[in-house]
Amino acid sequence: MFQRFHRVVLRIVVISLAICAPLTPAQATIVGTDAAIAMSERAEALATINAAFAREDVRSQLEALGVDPADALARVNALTDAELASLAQQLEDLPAGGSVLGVLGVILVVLIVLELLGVTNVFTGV
Amino acid sequence: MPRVLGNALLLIFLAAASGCTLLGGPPLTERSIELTETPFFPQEAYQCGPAALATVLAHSGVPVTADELTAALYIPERHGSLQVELMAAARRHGRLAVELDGDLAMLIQQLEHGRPVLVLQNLAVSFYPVWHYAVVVGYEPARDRFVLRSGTERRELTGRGRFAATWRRADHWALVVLAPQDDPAGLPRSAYLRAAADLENTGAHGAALEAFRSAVRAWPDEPLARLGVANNLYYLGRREAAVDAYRELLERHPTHPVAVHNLVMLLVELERPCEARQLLAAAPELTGALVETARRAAASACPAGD
Repeated sequence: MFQRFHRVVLRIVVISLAICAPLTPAQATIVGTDAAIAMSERAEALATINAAFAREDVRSQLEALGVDPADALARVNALTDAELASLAQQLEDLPAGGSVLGVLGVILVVLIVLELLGVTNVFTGV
Repeated sequence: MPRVLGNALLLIFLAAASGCTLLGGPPLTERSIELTETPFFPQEAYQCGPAALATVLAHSGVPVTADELTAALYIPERHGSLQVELMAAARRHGRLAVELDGDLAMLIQQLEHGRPVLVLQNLAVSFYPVWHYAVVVGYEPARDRFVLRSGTERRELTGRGRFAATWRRADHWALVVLAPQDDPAGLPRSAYLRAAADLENTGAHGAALEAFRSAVRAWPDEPLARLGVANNLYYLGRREAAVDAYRELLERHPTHPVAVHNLVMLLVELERPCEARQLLAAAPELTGALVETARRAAASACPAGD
């Protein structure tokens, strides 16, 4: 219950920060190099307002997955707007390199055969 | 039960058939190559991300260990680390994280430039992925195999076919880490500029400035490299130097709309709007939303247009 309240408050803070951000005078006037690259590649321009939402979303997802809250904050602050947007949508589905195996039954047989055939690298690579 | 067995045999057959096509072909290069001085951090359970990143970071001159990177990379419930977080952690150490999607020839090219390459592999199969990060440090043409810093192996030797298969199942994802002052020779220009812009985007303006300067040295005709230099001078508060840098860019690329816009806005900010207006008056052929924004800002701040 408290957690939900906590999240609502955070959302409000994030939204108000996002709205206020354009009002701060420093560094608001020039077009950043990443936006210029996006223009030159005809890619979608980045929605920086959405980045504030994505940042909070990714931070809470990382915490839910067991990351220390202080670390989670530092980690989302190191991500670009584009990276935040992609993580917010698919953090659960992205590959997480870790390589420890827990395999059962038929799959294990398949993997052993594939390994012997030189297709995979499960047993020597882990 | 027979159906399960039948399906398993079918899978084995299909996978074997696709795997066999990888064998054969001449070696990728004549000369054996190995970056023997690349450090090694033996992996602890699930910690291949921190180990692999520490390897390339230490090679680029950052004194860091795998343990120190765990807090920045590891996700306990996922038992692993994400690709974008590896890149973010490299940036937090002031390094460019250049993402590459190439082929085996690109790997060899990077090794020849003295850069170890961090790769993502799927060691198992697409429907049962086992994701793993390792660092390619060498290639032996005589045996047609790669040398990797991987897991607990300082010199893991993997045949080309097997390596190519595990790498392909991870979409050929590769990462090169380099210091901003390093020569970007041999890297794709767009990937390098992207990495430099990512430094800028995350507030590392000092490192971004150095990186864009390296890009100007490597590709003097690239307007985005000069734009990056000017923008980061501005972000660092060196506004007069930024004015000079925008002017230098406009001398070479007089119609670059972002350069025009940013220089005009900066001149307005420096309370020199009439200078901005003169600049725009000299180029009446320029159009587009950015230039129009700049024209309005200059016109309202310098109504006389003197």
